[in-house]
Amino acid sequence: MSPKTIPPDAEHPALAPEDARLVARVRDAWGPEPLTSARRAAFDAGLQERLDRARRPHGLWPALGAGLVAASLATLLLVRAQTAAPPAAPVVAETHTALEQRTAWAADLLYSNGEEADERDDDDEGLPAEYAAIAGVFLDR
Amino acid sequence: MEAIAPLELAAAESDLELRFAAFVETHRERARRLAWRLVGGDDAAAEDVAQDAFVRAWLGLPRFRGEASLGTWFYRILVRQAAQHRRWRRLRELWGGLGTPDAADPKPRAGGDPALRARIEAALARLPQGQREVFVLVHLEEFTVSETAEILGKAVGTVKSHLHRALAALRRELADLAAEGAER
Repeated sequence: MSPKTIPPDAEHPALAPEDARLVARVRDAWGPEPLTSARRAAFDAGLQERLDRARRPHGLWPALGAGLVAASLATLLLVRAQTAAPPAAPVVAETHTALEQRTAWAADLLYSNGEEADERDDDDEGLPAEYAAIAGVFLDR
Repeated sequence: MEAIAPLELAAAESDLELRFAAFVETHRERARRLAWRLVGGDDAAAEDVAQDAFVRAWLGLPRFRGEASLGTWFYRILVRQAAQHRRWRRLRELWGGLGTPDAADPKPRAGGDPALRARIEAALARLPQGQREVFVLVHLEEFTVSETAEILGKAVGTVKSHLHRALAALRRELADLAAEGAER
């Protein structure tokens, strides 16, 4: 880098004298203390430790662990869904119904009176079996 | 393709490590000072940000394509790390003051006039992030406008405009400092 080849006004904007004084005051007053040799050694030791940690191969254990957890959850969901009941109606329609039911409380709050909400609360038996399985997992029934 | 002998590979790696150590030696002080000024005068945070930037630079060396100078590339990493640190700190402060400075973890203060430092710190903190970064890089750390534009990934014109606005704002807030200097 050779600053002499670049016009100074293009690369280091010229400052009015009062601005130059202001900048100089800020630069002098607002900066960290230079590192002492002890702190420099501590900085380098900390950096070395981080570098060593970054270089160390992480191995497959974290990925394996995450995979195991995901597989266990998927198995649990499948088993619970299968033991609840076999699918009877088209999936799209069921999902729609389930969504409608799950968001019903919000609709009740916004648009309906309390009586209608109570009726819907008592109507759990009419829900599709898949909903019951999903609710069993997520709503801890 | 000719196979590379393990010994040659080790030699190349050790050469890279030596060059990286020299790079750290050259840039350590400036990196720490720049980080300190970007995170708002916090010694521990500055060292954390600077170390993290060095580690990321080391890990990213294989991807360094030489389009910018190594130094510019490194400082781009550092500025991003500092910005990320500020964002996290703001989030922690929003979520119950866990990271509130001066509360649980008081930051060690450097020497000099503490009241003046606090005023400067507050005035700089009030600047928008882009203006603050440009002011610190160009006026306090003496990077050129082009280097600053490259570090921040901004156009030279944007850098100049940020500089102008930052200086105007600081002139309003810290006018007495310029006047004090003139009296001396």
